[in-house]
Amino acid sequence: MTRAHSLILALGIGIAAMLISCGNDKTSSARTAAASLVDDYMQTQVELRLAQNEKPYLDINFAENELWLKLKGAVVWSCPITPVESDAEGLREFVKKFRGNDQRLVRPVVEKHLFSSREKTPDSVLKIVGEVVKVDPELLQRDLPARFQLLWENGLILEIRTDVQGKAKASLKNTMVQLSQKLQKPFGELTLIVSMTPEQAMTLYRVTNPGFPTMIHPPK
Amino acid sequence: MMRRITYSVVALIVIGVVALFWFTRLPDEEDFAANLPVRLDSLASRLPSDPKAAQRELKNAKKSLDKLRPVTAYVVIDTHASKIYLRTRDSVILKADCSTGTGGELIDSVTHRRWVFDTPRGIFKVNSKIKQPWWRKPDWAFIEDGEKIPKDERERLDPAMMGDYAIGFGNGYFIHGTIYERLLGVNVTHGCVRVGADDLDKLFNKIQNGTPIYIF
Repeated sequence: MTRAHSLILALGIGIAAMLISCGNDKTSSARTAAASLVDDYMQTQVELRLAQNEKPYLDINFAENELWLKLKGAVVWSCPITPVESDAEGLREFVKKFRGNDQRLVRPVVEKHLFSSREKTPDSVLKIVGEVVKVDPELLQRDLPARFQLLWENGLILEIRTDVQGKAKASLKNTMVQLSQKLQKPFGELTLIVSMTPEQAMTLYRVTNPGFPTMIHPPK
Repeated sequence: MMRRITYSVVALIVIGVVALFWFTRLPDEEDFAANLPVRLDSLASRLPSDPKAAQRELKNAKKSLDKLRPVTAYVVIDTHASKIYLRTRDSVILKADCSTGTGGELIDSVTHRRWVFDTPRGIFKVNSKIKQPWWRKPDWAFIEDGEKIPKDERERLDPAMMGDYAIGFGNGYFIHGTIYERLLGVNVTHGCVRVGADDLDKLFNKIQNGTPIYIF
């Protein structure tokens, strides 16, 4: 074999290797695109079902960085996701845990716990208003949450904090819940802490009763 | 003796920890989620394997979802925070305090008729826009005040109570003004939605018949 032949052979091998690697890249990017299409399709189908239900649902949308309450697909309440501690990796872990091994796209809230809050209007004022409008003042009172948690299965917790100086509603229960969560931490409990205004927290707290449907959009 | 005490203490601690887990465990999700078993695999299997057909299927699904969403600005009434909004998906055009239903109940001791003063929840549309509306007082307004229900229809009419505008959304429910602006933000109404005069003026001029109203 002449020197020129060797050179041509080496060049040929080089080009073939380049083509193979290029093909691999194409295959892998095609796979990623297909996976993203499937994910997009499934999210859309899930939301379609929730929207047809005509009941509000919660959309934890990490792609848009917003918490949304929606009714028939329309946003009726929104709040930016301002994590107090979590980073991008924490958010991805939250999504992974939400979907779980059984790959659920929708999970209902299983429990909510109000740690502390403040009354929106002083009872003395509502007593007068209640007499004027002939209604039990208790019906008129609203709680501005200082701190509350929404819980889903798989030890997933969304904790909401506001700047309200609240009082504990039930100190013993608070201690029990906190102790229980500390005990469950080694078994995979995950908490995402988000801050919002008291007014936004009040709506979210009052709407999300156990059973409230929640969907999640992963970060982009 | 010491060993027995140690065993008892250990047993008590174990029972305590088990009880703590048991009483604070999350309820079975299936209780709530019976109607929501949406799983990735069951949905994914419906997507055609051909990429073009899959794209088409995705486009159709998105179109179906878009059809449900309002195309114009819409009104949102948050009965929990006593707020009214005119908004689009991405921005809030108008935000104001409002008052919604108390949730209270009135029973007529004579006829045993019963009223629950709640603002209805759901999706509605503006079906009337009235300037300088007069309130026709219903029977409950007289019963609540301990007054006799008048036979003369004119005695039911009140020209001041509803403010400058009324926006109807069905079944006798209106978004309207109020003479009790200091009570805005508290749920004191009989089911209608009260808004302050300035905000009502802006809202009235920004919406049309057919504008969607979402109440939650």
